[in-house]
Amino acid sequence: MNESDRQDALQQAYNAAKQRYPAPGRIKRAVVNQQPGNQQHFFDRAKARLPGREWLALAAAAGCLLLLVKGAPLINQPLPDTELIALEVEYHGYQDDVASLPDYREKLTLYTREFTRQLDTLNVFYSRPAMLASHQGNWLFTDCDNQTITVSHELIDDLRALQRVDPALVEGTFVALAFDEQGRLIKIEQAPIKSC
Amino acid sequence: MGIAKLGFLRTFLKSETATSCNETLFKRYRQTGDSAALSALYDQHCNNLYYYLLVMSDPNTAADVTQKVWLKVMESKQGYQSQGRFQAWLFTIGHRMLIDEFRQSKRWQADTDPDTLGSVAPVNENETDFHQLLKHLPFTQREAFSLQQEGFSLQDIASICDVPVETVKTRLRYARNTLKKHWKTS
Repeated sequence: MNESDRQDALQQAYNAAKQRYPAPGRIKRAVVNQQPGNQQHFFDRAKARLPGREWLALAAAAGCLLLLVKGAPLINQPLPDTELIALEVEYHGYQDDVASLPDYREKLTLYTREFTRQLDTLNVFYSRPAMLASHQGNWLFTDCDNQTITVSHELIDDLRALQRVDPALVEGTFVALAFDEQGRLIKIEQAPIKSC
Repeated sequence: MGIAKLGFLRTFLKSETATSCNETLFKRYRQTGDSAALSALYDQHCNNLYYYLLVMSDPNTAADVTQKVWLKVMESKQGYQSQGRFQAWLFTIGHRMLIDEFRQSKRWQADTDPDTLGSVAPVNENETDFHQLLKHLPFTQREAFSLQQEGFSLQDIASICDVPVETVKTRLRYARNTLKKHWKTS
């Protein structure tokens, strides 16, 4: 068997294996149901049945009902304790000393949760439009003044791990580079339109 | 006259390559939101994308990521630059989303050491299932091989995996050698 035959054999084996594992039908149903047009079907059908004025009245009534049901508890609802307590906690001590203190464990949990939340929260200070020029190795961007911005591969990996790089970016895509107040790049997302 | 026009149209459609067909469908979907165009694109690519993701992961992850990729395509339709590379764009999103998924679930092993190229897991000498045989390849070799079988060029594979072309060549060479060694055609 020569090299070409071997290649063909591998290709055939791959295709045969692929035939045995088709994509589940539920994926297509889920994708097609996410189509904006399809989400409108229910409303379109309802619209067709109701004349315009009646439809508006029904929507207004539903809105009022929702406000009555949901609005009242919101007005008197106290602020969540977690954030207040988290700011209060500034306690240091050896484990043996503090284990017996009341509420220590609870406060520590709240503090940790708040700290984690802060790490996960993006505080975008400013955003800069640019175009992705290359993503081989380090990523190169060109901004509106034709300046090149290089972002290291390691930083891209870190941002990806936090899901802060839009996976749909390709060369030529216009992006918004988001920076925090210390000038650190914290997010790269696709710009809706050509921004320059 | 009508028949002549139809004949011309049929000839034109026949000569249209699969690539430009993708572009035409996607353009129509982008401009009009036509769900039939999206559905046609899906039917054309879904099994290929799903199988690539299945080879790289497990059935649940492959199904989840496939769905997410298509949702991303719908979400990013305005940002896509039409360069006749819809399929490459689709698989690039798939590759990145899969890596994100692995990182999130802490299952990602870099396996990208250029010297060792990962090690081949022990293979049953009597392995008759090509799908299982593929699973024995290291992640990066498996990915390069799968993408090549899906019809991508070396340049495309390098772009999807975000590595130099030479690295792709090496991965493919190792993958093919292992497969040839263990795959006995009937």
